[in-house]
Amino acid sequence: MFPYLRSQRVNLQLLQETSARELEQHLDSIEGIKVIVLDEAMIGPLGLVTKPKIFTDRGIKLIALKPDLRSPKEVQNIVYIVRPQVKLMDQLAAHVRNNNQAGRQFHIFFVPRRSCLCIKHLENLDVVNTFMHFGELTWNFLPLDSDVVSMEMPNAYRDVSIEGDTTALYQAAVGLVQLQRLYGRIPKIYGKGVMAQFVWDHAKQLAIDEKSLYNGDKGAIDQLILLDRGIDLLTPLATQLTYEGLIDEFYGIRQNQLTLPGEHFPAYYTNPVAASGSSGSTAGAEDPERLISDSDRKTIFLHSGEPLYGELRNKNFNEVRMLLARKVKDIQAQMNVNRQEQTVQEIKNFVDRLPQLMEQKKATSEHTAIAGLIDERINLYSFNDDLAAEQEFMICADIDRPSAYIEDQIARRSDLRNVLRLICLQCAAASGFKERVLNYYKRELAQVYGLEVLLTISHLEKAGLLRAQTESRAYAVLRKTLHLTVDDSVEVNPKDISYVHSFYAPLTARLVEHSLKPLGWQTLKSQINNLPGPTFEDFQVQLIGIGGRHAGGATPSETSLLHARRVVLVVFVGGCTFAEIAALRFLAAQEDNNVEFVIATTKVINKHSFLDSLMSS
Amino acid sequence: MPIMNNTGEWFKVRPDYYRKVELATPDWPIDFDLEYMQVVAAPYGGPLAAIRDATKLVPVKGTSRPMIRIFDTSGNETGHILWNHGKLISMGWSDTEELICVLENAKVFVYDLFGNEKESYSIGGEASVIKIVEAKVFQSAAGTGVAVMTTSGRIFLKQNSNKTERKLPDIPNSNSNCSCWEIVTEGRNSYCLLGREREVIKLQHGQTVGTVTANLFEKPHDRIIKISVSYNHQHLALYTNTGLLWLGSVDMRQKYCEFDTGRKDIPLQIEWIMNTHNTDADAVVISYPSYLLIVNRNADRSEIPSDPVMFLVAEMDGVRIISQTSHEMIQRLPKCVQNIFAVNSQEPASYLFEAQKKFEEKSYKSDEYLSMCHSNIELAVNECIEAAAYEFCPVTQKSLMRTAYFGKGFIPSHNPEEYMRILRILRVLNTLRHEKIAMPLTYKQFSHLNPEVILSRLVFRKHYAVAIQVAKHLKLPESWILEHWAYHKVMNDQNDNEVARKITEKFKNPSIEGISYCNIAEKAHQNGRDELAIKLLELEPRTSLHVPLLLKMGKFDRAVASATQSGDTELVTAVLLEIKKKMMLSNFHMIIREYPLALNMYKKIMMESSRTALFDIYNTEDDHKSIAEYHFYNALDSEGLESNLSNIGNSYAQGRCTVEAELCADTARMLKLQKTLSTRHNGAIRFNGLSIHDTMLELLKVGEQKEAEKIKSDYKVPDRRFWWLRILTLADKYNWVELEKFSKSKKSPIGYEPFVEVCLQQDNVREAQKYILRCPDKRKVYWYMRAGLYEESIDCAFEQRDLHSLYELQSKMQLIRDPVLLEKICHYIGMLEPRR
Repeated sequence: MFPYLRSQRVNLQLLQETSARELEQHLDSIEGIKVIVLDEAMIGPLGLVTKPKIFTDRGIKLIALKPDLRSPKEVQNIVYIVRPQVKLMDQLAAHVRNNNQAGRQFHIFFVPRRSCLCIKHLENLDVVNTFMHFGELTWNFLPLDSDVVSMEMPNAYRDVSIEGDTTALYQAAVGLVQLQRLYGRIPKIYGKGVMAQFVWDHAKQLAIDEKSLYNGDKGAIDQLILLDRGIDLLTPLATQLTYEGLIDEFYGIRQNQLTLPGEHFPAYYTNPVAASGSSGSTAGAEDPERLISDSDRKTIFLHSGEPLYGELRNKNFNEVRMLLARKVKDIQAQMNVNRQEQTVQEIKNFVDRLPQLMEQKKATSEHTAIAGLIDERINLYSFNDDLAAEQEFMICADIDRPSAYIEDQIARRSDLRNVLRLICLQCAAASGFKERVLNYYKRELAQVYGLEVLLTISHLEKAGLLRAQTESRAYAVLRKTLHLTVDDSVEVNPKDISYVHSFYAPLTARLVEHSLKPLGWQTLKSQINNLPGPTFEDFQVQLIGIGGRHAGGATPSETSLLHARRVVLVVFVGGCTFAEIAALRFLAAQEDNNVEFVIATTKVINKHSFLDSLMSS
Repeated sequence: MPIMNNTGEWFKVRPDYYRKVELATPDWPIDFDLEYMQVVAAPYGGPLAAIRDATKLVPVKGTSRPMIRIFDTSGNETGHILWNHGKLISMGWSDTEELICVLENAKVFVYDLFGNEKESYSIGGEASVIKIVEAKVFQSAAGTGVAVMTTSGRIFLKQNSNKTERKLPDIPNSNSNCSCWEIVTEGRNSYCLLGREREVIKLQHGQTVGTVTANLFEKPHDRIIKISVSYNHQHLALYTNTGLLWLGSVDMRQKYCEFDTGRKDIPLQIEWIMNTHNTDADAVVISYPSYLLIVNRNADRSEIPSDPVMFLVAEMDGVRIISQTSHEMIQRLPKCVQNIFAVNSQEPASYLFEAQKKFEEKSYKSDEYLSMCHSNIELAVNECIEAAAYEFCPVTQKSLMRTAYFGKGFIPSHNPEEYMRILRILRVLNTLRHEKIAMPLTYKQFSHLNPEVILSRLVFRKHYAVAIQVAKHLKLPESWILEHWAYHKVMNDQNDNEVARKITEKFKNPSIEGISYCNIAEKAHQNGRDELAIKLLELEPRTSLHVPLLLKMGKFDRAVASATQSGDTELVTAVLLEIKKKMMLSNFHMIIREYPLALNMYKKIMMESSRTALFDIYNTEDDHKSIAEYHFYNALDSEGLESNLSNIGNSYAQGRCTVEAELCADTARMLKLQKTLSTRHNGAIRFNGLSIHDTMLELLKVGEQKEAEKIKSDYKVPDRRFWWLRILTLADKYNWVELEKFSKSKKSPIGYEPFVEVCLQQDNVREAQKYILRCPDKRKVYWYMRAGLYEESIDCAFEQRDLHSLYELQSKMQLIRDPVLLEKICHYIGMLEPRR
């Protein structure tokens, strides 16, 4: 059902199928006509593991949770699929009251975990007795693409760092155990950071009972690298310059879907050939791929199942422009060959290729349209000025003084979020402000944006985005030792991952890159000592029970595979950006590295969404 | 080698062979004499209970208090009960090896095989009021029940302590007493058969009156004195005072035979001998003092001399005989055993056995014997394996298995599974039959009980080591046995440390799976040993499992600790909700403050339900910054920032947030100022609530420059920002003259680029140009470009020898297609580009 998740070594279709089966089994155990009511936040994640077919096959309708919506009389069961959020329970209770009728049964499935707090709240609202069943769908990691899984928890970093609520970390640990159950034991583990350590410690603890995991040979994944977002707060704040990163920053990609106003894509409503020739990825009200449709906006699916997007997504935007221009030329050339001079055979060939060609044409024009929208945005002076300022910080120019650019922005009362982003970025590059500088910024911000800004600042301080300087200047040192900024960077046909931010290589991706080298992690260990949190490594060896037959040689299967491609699972605890994903994909594409990555994250974030999650109260 | 393979123990009751097998020689205690005892034994080689027979005269030894003694089959005393409950009427064993004792007053006491009381109950109803004369413990499909007969001749059945008693119908014409009775089970129902005079009365629950069957016997007699029902409740045996024996079906419709024993003495017991190969019975054994009589359906007989006193125990595949000196079993000879060992047997198995023997003797005859059974060798092998299972003597077992092993070599593609299985089971059976274990089970009984039950019986007898070995041998889970061992330790060993040490020692073996310290801890808690329970919990690595028990024990502190350690926030939340209900709030705070995760989760819960509780927490924590923010949020929610500012500021100050506190003070001052400003402007401008910056902006907009400058100095607004404010407001009003004047008033702290920018924002290129000239040379290209003054930009770039900007301009010119400028650029580029 999800061909784009397919891959050789770690086939994430398996994860999707397992998750879907869990839901199907729950649904099949409920007898009678049913309706599924979805929490807004669950619509996207549900689409990552299920196709509408499994619901239509069972005659189940999906609706979004709206308290005053009534279901038809003949519906015998109402099944809620929700995130365990107390606030949501008020709406849910209202919906229950509006739909309560004799003989109707209510069921709740919490994703990924049943919450006693929610149930208690329902108790307080006096509706708890109407529920037949409080279940859970243990969906922790959801497959986004053939090499990316995400927990779709946008507030993970915020919850942990600001509120000290480690639910996301615990669930990540549970998810890691689940992944190992599907793909086998991971023999080697490296990690950095407090949150990363927390995740690993608990994943290990939870796996105590999984005897089968330790008895078998190693699984499909050779190595696990856990990275804490807290060790690199600069990258998520920086502007991404890859195609996918830019789309996400400007328009937001939600669970592989990009929704844009339909007006930008007039061609597809007028061109019936393109619309009907599509494989179901065009927009429209009767789009079979979407669970709950939305008519006047166009939805585009962005994942590696679309070949053109697969080619473009990880490229620097400057290269994308060129590639698109070339594509257009190619297609034109193929379409406009003089047919009169061709033999019948040649024409037949052409006709056979026509649907494919049309497909290509459609995709190309779609992406040309998107690229055009992006082009407009990045040609704005403000975009370039911001970018220039960011890049100044990245090379640590004048980093210890209040930045004139930021001061100007404050004076002009620019968008607060962007101002705070730049300040936090400077703070990250400077590895903390001198107290004087921090206080200056605070005073300026409060004077301009009002006293309330202090509450936001307080959040950023708790999150570690604004902090006082400590002795070590980790960023400045690592910039040199790990070549985080590259002088002679190229954006087109790059040789180094720094292209994703024009000349800055995300620290996280650099760490992964270095760990691939022989003795890489051992060398890194001393270098990254100055980053916050512990550096750790661990091994999960095969458990040899007494009287077991594996007495001979440690683990032959684990050493003999030296020449096969290594598969490394990189877990970003607290979210990662598309630029980081692009950088890792770039590394995997280099033959010398002989490596394949699977990327797991709490959520794919960008500079806006990351700050938004931290700023909200 | 047993002589003649024990065929000497065989005897014939035409047409079948029976045999008497010696199971073990019991080693009774010196002071134990069966003669004066009443004995009941549990089936399946279970324990037996003995009490002094009150009807016999006994030489008094030791205490005269009645005592029930419980033995295993080898004569080891496993327990005793000092009887002090009143007159005991009857005893019996339940199918779960519990001793059931029925008293005269209709009370029932239940003991385990160690003599520990498990429960007691009363039959209830009428039976409890009237005395009981007789009682029987019977087995049925629904478990073990008790039947009692009252002095009034009524019979009551009680299945177990939870069920109410059932009264059977009255005996018709109950003026004369019955002589014997027995309970028969039919499916889930039980009924009673009574012998009275010459008739048999059937009393079934639900019927109003009993059914009488008379004239069963042909020969004369006075009354029926014994009645016996077979183990499977299918056959009935009746015995009269004249020594007549009647055998028939239990419904008395079918009569197998009537047999005259010719004896006048009263038999001790009559039991049916169940067949070994199916669930039927063909013969009964009658015990007289010193004499056993076996009679079958064909009225053939055989007799065996015996000890003066013995007790018969009916089994599912024979009858056990317990006497002072021996423990034997009478069973029908299994066909396969007969085939092999019978003299002059012509069966293939017999030849195979001989062949093997000769083979061992290295005799050529082996081949001859082999050729005689070669065509049926598979049958022969299977029979040998089967026969081995029936044998009690390990030597015979061995020789049979060796024969099977020898024989299967001649069968291509023989499936050894059965052979292996029987070998394994035999080993277990021999272990169980050992006198230390004393569970003499037959293969059939073993299969019927199934290994799990046997393991649990072993565990109950505290044979943990044997149980584990047996479990390992049969490839069954063994961890629960260790768990029981641990329970036993917990209950009997008083030294906490020692117990914990012993348990960890045993449990640390990694091959043991699925052991839960928590279950053991739970047991410890049930025994009132909370200290030990906690010690055991500490050994459990999965901390989340600790929590339920800790909560139950009221160890809230530890429960929170364990929950937080597990990292499971859901569990932490559940614990917090649970213990908050049970504790004083102050104690609750004291506990959770020790555990950051718990504290954070609690704060989060309270954030959504009760903000005041949050305030309490901050107060106990002396978290002044949070208090300040708490007040701040409240103020924002209630739109009452002004009145709260001092409060907020104070808290900030206490929390050492100096800047924040100052800013609060500034804001408070500002709010005051705004009020006066508003009144001055008659409310034309709403200043209230604006930020300092915005207030200045508003003032500048209305031309109150003085006032704005005053604020600037009062609130230490940096020059840069003030300049920005000035030029922005000026440009906003298109006041270009003022702007220029302002630009010349002083050297600009922000440079002149902002001037360009504000002009461009208002699309005034001409004004912008003035300021571009005053920008640093490096930046001029950029600003010319931004202003759309490309020619100037190109010139400037050339002057600066700024090749990079020229390239940029070149691409821009290509875009707007200006051939003149493009040519100029190309020219310049050509001049600047380094020669190759």
